Amino acid sequence: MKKQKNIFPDLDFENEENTFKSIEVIQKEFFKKTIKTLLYILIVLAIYIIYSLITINPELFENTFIGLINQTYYSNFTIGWILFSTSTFLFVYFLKIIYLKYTPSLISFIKNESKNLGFDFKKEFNSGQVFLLLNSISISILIYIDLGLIEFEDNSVSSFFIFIFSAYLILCLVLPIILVLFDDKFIIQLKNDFYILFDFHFKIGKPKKDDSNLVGIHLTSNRLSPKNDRCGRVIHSKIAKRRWLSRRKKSKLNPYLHFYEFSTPLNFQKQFLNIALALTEWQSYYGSRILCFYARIPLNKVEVKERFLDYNKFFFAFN
Amino acid sequence: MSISFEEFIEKYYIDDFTKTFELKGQDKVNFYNDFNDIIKGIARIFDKLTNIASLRGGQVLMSLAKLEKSESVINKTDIKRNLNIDRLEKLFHAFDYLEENNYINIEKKTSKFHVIKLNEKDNPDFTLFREIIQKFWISPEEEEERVKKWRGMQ
Repeated sequence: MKKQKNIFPDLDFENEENTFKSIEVIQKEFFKKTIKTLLYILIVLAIYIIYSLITINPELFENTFIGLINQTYYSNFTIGWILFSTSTFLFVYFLKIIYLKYTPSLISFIKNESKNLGFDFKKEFNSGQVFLLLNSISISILIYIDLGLIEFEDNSVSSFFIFIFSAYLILCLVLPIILVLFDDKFIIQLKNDFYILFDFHFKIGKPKKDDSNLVGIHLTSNRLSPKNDRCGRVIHSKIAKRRWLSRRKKSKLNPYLHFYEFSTPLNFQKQFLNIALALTEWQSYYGSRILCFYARIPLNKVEVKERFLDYNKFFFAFN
Repeated sequence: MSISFEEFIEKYYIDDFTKTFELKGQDKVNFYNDFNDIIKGIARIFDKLTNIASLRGGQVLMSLAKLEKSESVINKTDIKRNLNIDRLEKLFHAFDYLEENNYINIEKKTSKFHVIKLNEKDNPDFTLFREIIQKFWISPEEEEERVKKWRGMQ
């Protein structure tokens, strides 16, 4: 049997009526996705509570199906770990999808727009798959231990194994959470070292007629240079100002410079090309002797001869 | 950063009628550069404002002005391609609005082939607009080509 392709409703932001219809579709999908994740968390928590009750008062569930499950070979630690890691990961994932609002049709819309420009819009990492992979390995090892297939007679080897395995268990949980928090984003790879990350934002409440920018797409470039690099700062500022790039202040803790751009679905292609061209300029000028030399003196003191080169097509990209 | 209009006037004493306005050698180059900076800045403002507005009318006007440099006959599809728009329907509203307000002339050669022109006769400012756009504006089609060239796709 042929696998049925997922078809998402086409979003249209070309006029007010269709924009509101599209936003309703996005909001419905968002709520569906949120409720689905919430449901998963509740199921895992319910299992966790039932399991706790069984271990505290086993006689409560005697002669029941739940009581039978308790009589398995698996240790409390194995079951406890499965429940704990799953619920923790799902909870972090839940928070993330509330913050990063992307839905299937919105993704499909941006994918089509990017495709028209000849770019491939995809997810950088799938944290869910990383979590499943790492945890299935850890759970398999725990089951092997429970079944007595992994045993050590030598105490020092046993201690070393416990140490390594504990570190692995921590990694199993921490790594997917780090991926969810920082790298679980959609991306367009322009070149090896150049890419653009996407964040979506829209209001969760019912859209009103006078609402503006109902759906927003934040575009963030890759790291450009450290903030304390004077040359980088000057070129970044020159390009960002000239291209009217978004000047939103990101975390002060971030020690790197990035380009930021904001678009609505209507002007997505244009804004995307704007940030992509900013990156082409960055690659041309960062490290170039002329601009980095002049980074040491104020821009308004740059010699006229260099500016004249602008019209001799040397700086064609700065047109 | 481009020089402001006020700074430009001040720098070359254009509003000072006690001095003779004479430019030679390097001064002429400076004047040309500064003047170009101002016009380039205006072209950028056009570009940004037309993208902030929700109607695509401004973009259509810019594309039309740009294409008039290289094409003798421009139709709706040329503009669609020049603006990197995937469907012509997205521009229908803008064409209707611009025609209704006499900003463009649409000559219907056949039911599907419509020749479009900037209406410079009724809008004299469009002459300067066209000159600025043709010299300084980079269309989305050209921007896309630049990015692709940079990526090594062409």
